[in-house]
Order: sequence, then C-alpha cells, then structure tokens
Amino acid sequence: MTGAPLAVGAEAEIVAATYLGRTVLEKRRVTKGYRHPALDALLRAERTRDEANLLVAARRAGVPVPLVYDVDRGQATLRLEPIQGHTLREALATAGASDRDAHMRNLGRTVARLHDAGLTHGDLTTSNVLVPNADGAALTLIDFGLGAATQEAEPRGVDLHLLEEALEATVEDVRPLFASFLAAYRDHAAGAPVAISRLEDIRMRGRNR
Amino acid sequence: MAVLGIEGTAHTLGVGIVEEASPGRCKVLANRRAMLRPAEGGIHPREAANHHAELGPRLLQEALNDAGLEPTQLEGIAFSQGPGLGPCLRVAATMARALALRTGRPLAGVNHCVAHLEVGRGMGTALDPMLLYVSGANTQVLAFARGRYRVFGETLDIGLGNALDKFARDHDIPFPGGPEVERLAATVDHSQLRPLPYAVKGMDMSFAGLATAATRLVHDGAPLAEVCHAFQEHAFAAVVETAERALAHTGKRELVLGGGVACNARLQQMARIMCQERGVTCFAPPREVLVDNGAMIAWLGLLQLKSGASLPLESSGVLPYQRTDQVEVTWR
Repeated sequence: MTGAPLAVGAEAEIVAATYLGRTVLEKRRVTKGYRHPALDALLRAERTRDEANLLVAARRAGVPVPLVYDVDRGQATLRLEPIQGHTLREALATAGASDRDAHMRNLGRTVARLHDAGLTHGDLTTSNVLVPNADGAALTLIDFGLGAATQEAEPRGVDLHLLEEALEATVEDVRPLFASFLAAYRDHAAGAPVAISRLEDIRMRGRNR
Repeated sequence: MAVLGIEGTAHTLGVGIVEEASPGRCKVLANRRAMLRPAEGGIHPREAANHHAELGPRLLQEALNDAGLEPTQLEGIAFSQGPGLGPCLRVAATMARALALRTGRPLAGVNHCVAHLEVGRGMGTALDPMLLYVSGANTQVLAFARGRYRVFGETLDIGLGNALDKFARDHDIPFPGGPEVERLAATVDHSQLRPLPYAVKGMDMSFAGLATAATRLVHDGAPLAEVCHAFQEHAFAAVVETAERALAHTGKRELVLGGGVACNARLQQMARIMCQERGVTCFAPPREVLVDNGAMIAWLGLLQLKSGASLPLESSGVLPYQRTDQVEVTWR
C-alpha cells in the first residue's frame, strides 16, 4: 500500500508504505528513460545494494541510521524505518544557541564514529541529518546514496567540507557552529588529523560550489 | 551595437560578430572558424598558436565581410581571456588588442565556459538555465547561483571529448574522433550493451578509465562499432546524470547544452529525455554555436560592455587557469 511520494530526489523517490504490518518508508530508485535499459537496471540494483550495505555497516559501528527492513534489488527499493523528527536544517533555524551548539557537538561525535568505521556519507548536508522527536534520541544520518566504504582521506574531507557549505546556507554565522562540530570530531575521530588537513586542501582548491 | 569576438582557447580560432536584436536576444552577423587538425597525436599548444596567428587576419576580414561592416563600425572587441592553452589565448588576445587600439573601441575579456552558457540563453528561451558543457577539454555542469557562475559537477580527470579522441586515436580514427564514433555506434543493435566502467562520483565524473577499458575491449576482440556504442551509452549517461543531479540540487527548470561533444545526436536525445521526465526545458543551440566559436565570445563581450565592464588594456593579460567562479558577473 503506497501513496504519493513524500520526496523526489535526482534518482529516487520516497513513499510511505506498509510492509509486514509496519509503516515503512520506501526508497525507490526509479527507471531513467535516458539510460540504456541494461545500464539502468544494473545501476539501480547496485546502488540499492550498496546503500543497504552502508546503512547496515554504519549501524553496526554504532552510528544512528534508519533500520533496513528489506532490500528489493529487482525493484531497486529499500524499505526503511521511518524516523519522526525534523531535519538539522530546520532545528538550527529554531533552536537557541546552546541547543545549536549541542547538536553540532553530537554531530561531530557521530561523524567521527562513521569515519573511523571506514565509511563516508557523501552528501553530508544539514538536510540529511535528522533530529528525532523522541526524547534523548541521537541525531540520525539519512540518505547514504552517495556514500562509500573507504579508507581514503578525500571523501572524509569532502564530508566535512560539504557540511561546512551546507551550514553556510543554513545559518548566518557558520564559524562557531562548525568550530563546535570540528572540536567534537577532533576529540573522537582517530583519523581526524588526516581528514581535517584534507578539508583545508579542499577549501584551498576554491571549489566554491 | 555590433561586437566582434575572437575565440582562441584551444584548437579552434573563431571570429564572430553579433548584435542584440531585441533585449537579451543574440543575432549572429558572422561566425567564421578554423580548426587545427593535427596529422597525428593531440593538440600541441605552440602548433595551434601558429595556426591561429597564420589564419587570424584572413578570418577577421572574412567575418567583417560577412557582416558587411568596417572595423570602425564595431562598438566593442571581445576575446577569450581564459581558461585555455596559454599560447593560443595570447594570439587571440593580441589580435583583439590590436583591433581595439586601431578602432578606439573598448575591450572585453570573456570567460570561455560562461560564454557557452550565455550564448545558449541569448539564442534560446531559457532565462536561468543549467549548462551541460561537454567538449574536449571541459566536461562540467554550471549555473548562476549566489551572484556567480558556479560549477556543480565536473570531470575529475579528462574531458569527455578528450577521452573519445584518445580512444579513437588508438583505433586509427582521425581527430576529432567523436563524429566517427557516433557514426559507428549507430550501426549496431542498440538492444545489446557491452559493459564498461561507469564513473559518477556524487556530482563529479571521470573518463580516463573508460577510455582505457574501451581500448582494452577492442584489443580483446570486441567489434569496434559495438565498443563505440557502449562508450557513448556509458559516458553520455554519466554526464546526463550529473546534469540531472545538479538540476535537482538547484531547483533550476532549464537545461542548455554546449561544447563540441554536445553536437552528438545521441547525447542530445538523452538530455531531452531526462528533461522531459523531470519537466525541465532543454535547449541545444545550432551546431555553429555549440562548438568553440567567436560569436559566443562576442555575445558575452556585448553583455559585459553593456553593463559597463570594459577591460583596460593593461589588465588584458590572458588567464589560462581562470575558474568559472572567479568571473565577476556584471551583466545580471
């Protein structure tokens, strides 16, 4: 049972559905008419599988992410646990200074754990971090469609850089918030020096997207 | 107001003359081009510069004849200031400076990549499009955002056209390789597809590995035409996906194509299908302004001069490594 999409991205749509009696979110990678059918089927199946693997690996490493209920490679569909809450983008817009700071420190710890597990998110914007409604629930990372399992410095630097850029589009003064994030990240990530030095390289490239 | 533009970033020297037919509408009065076709190998910057210097005066005269104008009737002189091969850029810049000094008309230094986008706006209906720019050296997706032209995705190694040329050269197809690869690709059964690497990394792409893998496939016995087909299907899907991601990211509703590789009918078809599925308009300018050409340089020069941004002679040095987001946008 499904309804109209809750969200439509570049490659997938999110719809609410019922699966084995539970309310779930279905993330469906839709067919692209411009691609050769063989390539289309391959990419959708591979990306669905890869994203499921990343979500499972992240969860195993203790990073809060939605539970994966089902992986349907044929339909290129993931069935995921719905998280009730707001995006970090929304939360930062309404929260007071101390709450904002606490969110950013929590996020620093979470991303540190993700990176130390050899995983990267690939699209770490404030829209892809959820602040759950449930009391005491941890910040939850969503949408691993561009993520990777890798030990390389570059994608970790890119994660940090994307977050900084996303903050710039979200709040007026990004510096104290990003500094809080980075301080927590530095305290908790074993690989922080390498990733932060890469962040500085990426900034220097002037890839001001 | 007629403005003359000189393009000289790589293998093509172009001289174009345009005027503004109505507000924001580009009318091409002349658009002459000459392209260096090396007997073997790729472009040698100095050889290309010599080619441009040799043919420059003739192209200039032909363009003026086509437009029916004397140099003194021009209102401005534009040239491709960057990015590109230094020796080639310097020939175009020298021609432009000489013409500006002789006529007393103002100079405009134009960014080549932004010119591809602006001529698409000037000749189509798009107001604020995303540009999918696919040529030999450049493969990027760019648009106007927060006061600047910004690159939303680009190749991490070589341009798609460069990858096509490399692959073609390995199989004795003369430069430029794209048209022959396109012709061969159209001869095979489309329902079959040979697998090749597909490299979209987030918003970025990579093509060097694709060219190598395609060459290996032919060496392993696959028919050349089938590999040409597979090359196009994989590479074009990657650039169209990047454009789609950038459209989704920015919320823009218009796509414009630019660059020599965008002349390919299959790439145009794929871009149109993607746009239809997203409800986005798609515009491919005519071939003469898709490839490197002087008219697009003239058109952006005209917009810059109209906005009051003329370039003093002493600041008219070329910028081989100019980045799209370094361009100061005075005209919108």
